[in-house]
Amino acid sequence: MLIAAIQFKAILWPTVILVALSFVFAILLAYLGKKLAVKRDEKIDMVLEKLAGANCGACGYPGCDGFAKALVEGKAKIGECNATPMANKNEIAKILGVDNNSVPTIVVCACRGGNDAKDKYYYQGYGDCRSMEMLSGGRKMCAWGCMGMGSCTKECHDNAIQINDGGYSEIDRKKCIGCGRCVAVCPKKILKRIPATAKVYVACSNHQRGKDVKAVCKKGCLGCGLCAKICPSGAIEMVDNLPVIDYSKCTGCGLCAGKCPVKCIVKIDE
Amino acid sequence: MMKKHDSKLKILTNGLIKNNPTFRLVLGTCPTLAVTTSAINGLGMGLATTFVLICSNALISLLRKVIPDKVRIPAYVLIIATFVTIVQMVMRKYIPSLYESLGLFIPLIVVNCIILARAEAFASVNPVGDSILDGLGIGAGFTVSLTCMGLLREFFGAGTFFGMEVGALPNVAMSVFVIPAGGFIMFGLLMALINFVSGKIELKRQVPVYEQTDDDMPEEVLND
Repeated sequence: MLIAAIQFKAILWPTVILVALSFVFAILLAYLGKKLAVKRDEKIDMVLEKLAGANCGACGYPGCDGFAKALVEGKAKIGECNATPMANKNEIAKILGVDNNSVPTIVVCACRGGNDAKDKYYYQGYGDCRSMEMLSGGRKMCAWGCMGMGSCTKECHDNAIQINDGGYSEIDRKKCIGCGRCVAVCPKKILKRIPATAKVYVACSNHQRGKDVKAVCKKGCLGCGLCAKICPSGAIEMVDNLPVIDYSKCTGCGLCAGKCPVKCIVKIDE
Repeated sequence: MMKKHDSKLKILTNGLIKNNPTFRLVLGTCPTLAVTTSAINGLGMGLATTFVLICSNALISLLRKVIPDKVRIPAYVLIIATFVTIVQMVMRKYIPSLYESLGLFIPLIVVNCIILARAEAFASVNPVGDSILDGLGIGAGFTVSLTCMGLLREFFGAGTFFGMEVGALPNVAMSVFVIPAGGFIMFGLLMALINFVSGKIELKRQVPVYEQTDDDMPEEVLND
């Protein structure tokens, strides 16, 4: 009954017309497409193949394709991409005929205060670090501390940065591609880039004197300078009550991390 | 819709003034607002649309008796998309700078409502010659409007004229005119101007209204 109700002619005719039109146009476009083809610089595709392909946009160009184009045109430098592995960067440099003078970097969070840092007020606003920063510089008594609202988490495409149980951001080394989107978004500027070869980093950004730091955070650097004294290679220097590590001198022995009374010099796990 | 006995000249000028797609019909405002940041962009967009409009009008008019009524919209879109692809290819090959600055708005000509509206309202019921003229007229109206907007936005926004520095005039650059908000402002200003002028013309054309006074009344009426 149902099949008899369908008028085959009413289906056939439109189908034939549309297929015929599509066929004619397809031939026309295929011909014109070949005739009007625009040659694309082969280098762009070669460079694109070597790029990380994360399309994170941290370089400021529209995806890896846009970055590859800018590289070939000489507008961008390879160092602007942090996601591409070093070996690939060297190959790109070879393709472009320039020197690859970028250093591989990783991102660390220079604060481990979190729940151990005292709160200034109880926050009920929009859950974002940047908006909280506008409200009297954030909820923590420490003006340099991680507020734990997770703007970095939202910004990360790879799910590599999380607010851990301690209440501060922690980066998953296995997932992080080092694009640096989180570095750009953090209002406290405590997500920092350090060389990928680094073995230790300073996990506090508070520049106050030890007594004042102790009043607001259990994990804050007291500025005692023990790390600078114990370092056998003289890589640590105290600047504004915080140790600064010179990674070109650091041998990664880890003595400073062991000596620190508040454990705010942290070893990077392999 | 146009009547059958309209003269050729009327069909051509219809799109330019009376049914100007941008300021009278207010169709296709997306490219109007988005690409008119400079005069050359407006002109390029207008010409590309005109080409697609003429070609699609001609082909749809040719095939108007072949295309079944029920699948006419898919067929029209197929035809329009083909011509847009051709325009895109030609532009990429020969005027890459314009291609770069128009960007996404070239493929978006496919969904420009002016083209589909003319296909549906004119080309599908009129002979080929008239349809081409209609395409030409509407396209010209669109091009002139876009170029005007681009010209004014570029002049007030960047202080240039078709990309050239205007030395004689003082630089009056107000960068608001080249950002999207300026597009709306300029669109509104031009629309207001055109409505004002056409209102004045309309008023002049009208036969003066004959005011009735008691003196004109017949004697019998007054006496009643």
